[in-house]
Amino acid sequence: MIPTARPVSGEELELQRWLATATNGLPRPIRRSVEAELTDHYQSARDDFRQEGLGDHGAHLAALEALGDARLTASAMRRVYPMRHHYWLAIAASQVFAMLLIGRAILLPFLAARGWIGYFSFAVMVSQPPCLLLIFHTLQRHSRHRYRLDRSIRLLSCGLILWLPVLLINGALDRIELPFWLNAMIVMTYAAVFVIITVGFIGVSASLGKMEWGSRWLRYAARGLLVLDSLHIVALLVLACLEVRADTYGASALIWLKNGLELVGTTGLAAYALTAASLAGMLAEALCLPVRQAPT
Amino acid sequence: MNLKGSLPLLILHVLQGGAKHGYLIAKDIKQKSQGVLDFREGTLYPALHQLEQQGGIESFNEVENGRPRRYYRLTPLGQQMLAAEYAEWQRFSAAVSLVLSDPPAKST
Repeated sequence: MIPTARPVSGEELELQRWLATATNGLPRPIRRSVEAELTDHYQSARDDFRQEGLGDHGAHLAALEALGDARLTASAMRRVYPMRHHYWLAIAASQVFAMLLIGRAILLPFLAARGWIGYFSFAVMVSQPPCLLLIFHTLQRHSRHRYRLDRSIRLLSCGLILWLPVLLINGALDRIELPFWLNAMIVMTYAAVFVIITVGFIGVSASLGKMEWGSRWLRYAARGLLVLDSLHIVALLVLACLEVRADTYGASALIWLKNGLELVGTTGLAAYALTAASLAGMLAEALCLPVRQAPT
Repeated sequence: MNLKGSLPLLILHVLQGGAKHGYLIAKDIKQKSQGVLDFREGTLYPALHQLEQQGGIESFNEVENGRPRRYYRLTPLGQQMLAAEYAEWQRFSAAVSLVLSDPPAKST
């Protein structure tokens, strides 16, 4: 025998429409939880109105009216919870970011080249911070009600905001012969911004490592990220100092060390790729797992 | 009457008396204000969830008359938030009272 769906009354349909409007755009687990709570509220109000002497339909209408305009509730909810499209955008951005990292690694030698390849390499470099900012904007909104990552993410976001103008200036001035002091200043600023970003990354990855995730590989990825980021920050700092000194004194004895550190510095790329993968996993998890246990 | 941002303070104050579910919170606010604060009850939940995110209140599920319900209760941080918001409100209402101490002039 084929099971038939329970017929839905007009009142139920009205309530469902109200709930759908009020929870429009919320991620599914949050939506279920909010709907369950609002339905309970509606039922309690309807029972009270019945006891006050209203008929079934009158009590239903009064209970819905007491809840108010569903669009008002929806707009208030949007201020409290991140919306579903934020997550999808962030997942897409994290994938684009991972691809940009690979592109960056390939195109890095062409950054100072003249012609389209130089501009293309520069565009790839510059596209990374906006992607990361989008990811972290979502993560920050999500972290407010689920995880306590806010401080690290704020630091990271600040670093990324600073990174964009530094990248632009760096890329633009790369084509011009600069006096030593200006070059040194740019290198040091770049390193300082990178330190902020990396400290933010370390904070985020440390927090991610502590989380109770369903998938073990994401935990390992976060711990690996912590180690790689720590190496990267040290490498960048030393590299920035050596670059300035080597440029000034032509200290050839330091060249092998500089090259070695550059190699360690590239582990940062792997770290960021891991971050992108971790974030994509985490955001995907946010879309699928219950955030607040709905009353069942 | 529009609550104009005072809903979190009212929620915290109502929860001082013990854990309550959303409907009971709304009912308490309306009853205690003798029906003057007749707000749209749907907007209570975003305010409750925001307070929960801020750590002022915490929720738990309980079954009442066979119906599962989400209850809210005040946290120690919520007590502090209530004290601070209450003091702020007292200052604000005292200031408004001072400004409005003269009755409005009758139009001729």
